[in-house]
Amino acid sequence: MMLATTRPTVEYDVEPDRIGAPAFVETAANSYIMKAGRDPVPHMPIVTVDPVFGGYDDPNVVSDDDDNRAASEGRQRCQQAIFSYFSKAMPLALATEPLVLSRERKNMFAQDYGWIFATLLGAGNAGAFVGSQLPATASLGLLDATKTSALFDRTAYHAIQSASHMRTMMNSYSATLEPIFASAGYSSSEAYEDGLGALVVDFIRSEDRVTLAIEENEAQLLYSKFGEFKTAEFPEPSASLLAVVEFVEKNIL
Amino acid sequence: MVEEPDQEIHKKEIVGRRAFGKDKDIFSTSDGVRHYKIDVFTDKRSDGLSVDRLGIGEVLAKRVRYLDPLGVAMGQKRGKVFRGWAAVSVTSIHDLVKSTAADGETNVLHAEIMRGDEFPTTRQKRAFAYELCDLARKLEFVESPSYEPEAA
Repeated sequence: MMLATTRPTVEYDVEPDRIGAPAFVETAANSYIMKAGRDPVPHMPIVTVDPVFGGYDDPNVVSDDDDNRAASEGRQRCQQAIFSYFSKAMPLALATEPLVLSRERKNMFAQDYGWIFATLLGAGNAGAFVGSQLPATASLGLLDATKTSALFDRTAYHAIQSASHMRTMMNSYSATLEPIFASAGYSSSEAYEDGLGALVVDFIRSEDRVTLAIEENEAQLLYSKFGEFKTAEFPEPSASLLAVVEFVEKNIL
Repeated sequence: MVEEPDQEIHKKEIVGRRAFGKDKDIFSTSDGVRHYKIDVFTDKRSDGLSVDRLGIGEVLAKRVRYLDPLGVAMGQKRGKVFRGWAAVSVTSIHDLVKSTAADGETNVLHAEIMRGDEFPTTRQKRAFAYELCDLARKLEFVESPSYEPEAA
């Protein structure tokens, strides 16, 4: 089995020590495969973000100036499918980094992924592709079936990476803050995009509302106290969870 | 055809932000209490937040009838059903509301809540959106006359 070079940032259902990231990916992908009525794939290959892929040094990145209309539209459709998958269809519990295959590695992958891609495009969008599988599987399938690694332009690639990163952070924040707010009578909304580049969750208790926004480089709390609107910002959200919890407990609840 | 109002925004004017989609796209709800989602009052433009002038002191049915096809057309462009307006009284934000020409449609009732100077950063715009959500809760949501829940 090919090993991942970085660990997917997944919230594990089982102890990470007992089941490593590669095994987890394999299990999740095979779970979907079996659900679709096919035999498990032995030694499922696992791919991670190629440090070069999508970067400015990557010669395989397709330019937006590409004048091949059919290829361009096909690429755009794939990008939209993947982006939709990451930003809308993917349950928070499955949030992970997008896993992308470089051209050099593409040929190392078995054709077992071809049908996954066919399923995705056959459904017209990746929204139908939810549940037990990982985004990695979707990416692999898409890349395999298009027989190209130059699937994303840089903008789409980084948008996916950023959205995935924020979902992972929001996942951590929600898991920690929801019980704290719940103990004070608040219920929480599902995470949604706020149109300004952040993922947002609302904590609501009748007329009271606290909004948590997670951006790539900042967490922001919005609340009101004694009729006055307040905002608190925390840089580096990946390192600020405890500070946010402390702030919520001291200043809001 | 609706009568074109004064350029100057009245202090008791009610403006509405167009909202699209189902309940879950517009509201965060708890025990039947609805709060607008932040993205009802955000957009990617750096300055003004487009709104429709719905009336002074009250929402005028004539204006709603004039504006409704514009909302429906915008919804079709976005692939989402037009639901209606999150209505806001401008009294506490009067200085920020200006009558302006609309982008991409003919709309004599168009105005903008100007955010550029007062709220230049993304986080300030988000905080302002939070305030507008709260302000909008003081008035009833104005349902589009052409909205059909079963078709949404």
